[in-house]
Amino acid sequence: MVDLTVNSRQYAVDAEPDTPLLFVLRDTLGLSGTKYGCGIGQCGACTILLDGQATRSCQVPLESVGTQAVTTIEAIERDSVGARVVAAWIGSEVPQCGYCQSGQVMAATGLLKNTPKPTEDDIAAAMTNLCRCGTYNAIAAAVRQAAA
Amino acid sequence: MNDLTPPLPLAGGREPIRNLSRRGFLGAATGALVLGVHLGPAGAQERAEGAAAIAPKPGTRVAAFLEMRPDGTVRLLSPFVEGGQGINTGLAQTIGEEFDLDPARFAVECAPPGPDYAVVNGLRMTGGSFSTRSSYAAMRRLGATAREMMLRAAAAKLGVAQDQLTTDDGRVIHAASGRSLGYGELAAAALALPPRDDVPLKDPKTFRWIGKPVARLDMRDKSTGRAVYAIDITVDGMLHAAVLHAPHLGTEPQAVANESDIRAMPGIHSVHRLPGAVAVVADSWWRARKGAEALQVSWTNPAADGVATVSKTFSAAAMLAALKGSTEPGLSAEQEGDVAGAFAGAAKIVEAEYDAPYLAHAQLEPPSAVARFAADGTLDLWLPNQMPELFQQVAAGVAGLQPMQVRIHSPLLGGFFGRHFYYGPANPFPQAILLAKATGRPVRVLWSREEEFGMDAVRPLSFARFRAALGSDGMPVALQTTAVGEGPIGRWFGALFKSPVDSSVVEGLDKKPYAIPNRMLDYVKVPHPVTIASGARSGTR
Ligand code: FES
Ligand code: FES
Repeated sequence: MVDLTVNSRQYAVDAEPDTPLLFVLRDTLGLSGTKYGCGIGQCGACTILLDGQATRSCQVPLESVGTQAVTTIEAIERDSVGARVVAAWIGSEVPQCGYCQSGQVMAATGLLKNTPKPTEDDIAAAMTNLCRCGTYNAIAAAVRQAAA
Repeated sequence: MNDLTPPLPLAGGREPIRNLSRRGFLGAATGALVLGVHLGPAGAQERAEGAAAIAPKPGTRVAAFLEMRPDGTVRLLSPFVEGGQGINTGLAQTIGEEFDLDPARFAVECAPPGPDYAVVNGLRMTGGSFSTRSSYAAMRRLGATAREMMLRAAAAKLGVAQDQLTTDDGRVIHAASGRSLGYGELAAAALALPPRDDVPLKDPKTFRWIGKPVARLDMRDKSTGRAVYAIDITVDGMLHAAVLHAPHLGTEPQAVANESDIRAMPGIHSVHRLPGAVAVVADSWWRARKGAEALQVSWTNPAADGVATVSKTFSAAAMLAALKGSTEPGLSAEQEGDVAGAFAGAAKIVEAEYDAPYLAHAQLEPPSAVARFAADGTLDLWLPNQMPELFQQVAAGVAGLQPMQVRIHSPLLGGFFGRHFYYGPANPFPQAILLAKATGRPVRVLWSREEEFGMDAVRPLSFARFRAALGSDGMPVALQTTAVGEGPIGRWFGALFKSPVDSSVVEGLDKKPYAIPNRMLDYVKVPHPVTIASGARSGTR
């Protein structure tokens, strides 16, 4: 059993210590808002916050989480920055298929929590998640709106 | 190891429709033609025995589309599947306009298979950027018909003449008496009425929502992780399967050297031999996947050489070389003027060769399918798809059932781009059905990204030779084009379209609007050994 704090709730998880946090969230805890896209840290669909830092959960073994607080898309509107990001996402109608967008919202929230007034370069450097539908311009616009 | 490899039976041994490309399908195939194949023996039987025996014209039976809820919202069962193109909102806009209900009050889901939803030239599919264009008239009429039923039901209930009634956003109003009734209150009585087929449509000048910006319905769910895709479906007692496919398409598993080691890994339920693959089933996908990655499988041998099959030496480069090296005379796809004469008299001849690579769809959601057999032997199947009736038919063949015994559930698509038509070995759902049967449990098959890139049906690598004859003024007088290869229409519809020229190979090369008097377009067929597909920017342009 591994202890885990997700969205301010305590869990004891029965999984091998090397299991990626992504699959613990999705399959063990039923938090399927976090998405699997590549499993190798390339696409960002699995982005969560680990102590407030945007992190690709497919690259986080369960055993390395320790006491860090995990925040997933399911709880993102409980965070004031996250709520602003979601509002901007809806206002700008960012999603198309939507599959990448949990990760995009988490990445944007991570950015704005650490850099409330990001420059264009900050946005470009932080928003590296893939979107096969090509919503990049709308993503950048929504980040700017959430920061304003 | 369970052996599930007997060749997949298809209903009635018929070749199903496997693929559609954009213009190839929409231009060349009439609905009737495709439907003729689609409803083969099994389909006809279903028609004779099932509800379809008395089915009205697709898109007309209001109760098949609209379910009024007590709170004044409506559940719309859509003929189309939403994958980011916005069709759910578009339908709410179109139907809501005539029905007089704010599009924001619609909750839209992809409908189960059924003859009511064959609104694309008598067929049902989501693709070709064609959903709105093909269904617009029928969906407006559906909304208008439904509104008239509300009016008729309200007239009876209020005891007034129908022409004294109007509607306003989900309510029927009797202005003279100040009374009104919500659609939700009227729904039961209204939907029991026979629909009229002569209800007038609105004057477009009075449109409130069509042609106006309307907020998309799915933005909140998609911005908060609540949108549900096939990969998110879980059912009670479900097992998870990960799959290792043959390294060469067309080869089969022979033996697993370390099966007992795999079975001893944590959470592993069983190991199965599938057509062209080995599956590991476990209580979580990660455990199944670790098992699949550890498999030591010996496979039958691929051919040593060549591009007729995916041989040991097959590669995209080898395929391109084969296309370039083809010397067969082409079949004429287009011929106008005197090409030979124009070249003979040309001031200058320009030659060029072009090729385009194999391309994967690369939709961000890896493909998956959940199969669950009910106690009565019928099957529920959740899977990404652009054509529910076709998948129902193929799934029934795999499961050994009649199509009407298979319930198809079509969740949101995490991107599609043409990925989710039926492409034989490129679809995980037959594996899910076989594994659910073998284990007696519901099973979700999920392909890893790596397996998906290995198994996706690809846009075919293509190659074309061009020669142009220029006159002394530098203007082209003749154009000669040879397209070499194979396209998805020829692959999956070859028997259907009697034309020997594959429209999906020559599309875009033909019917050029340029004022070049002498033109010649030839097609040389060189088949690809890999699974080929259509997709956005598909064909071989
Ligand atoms: S699934 Fe983690 S980065 Fe793609
Ligand atoms: S919205 Fe489809 S992948 Fe980004």
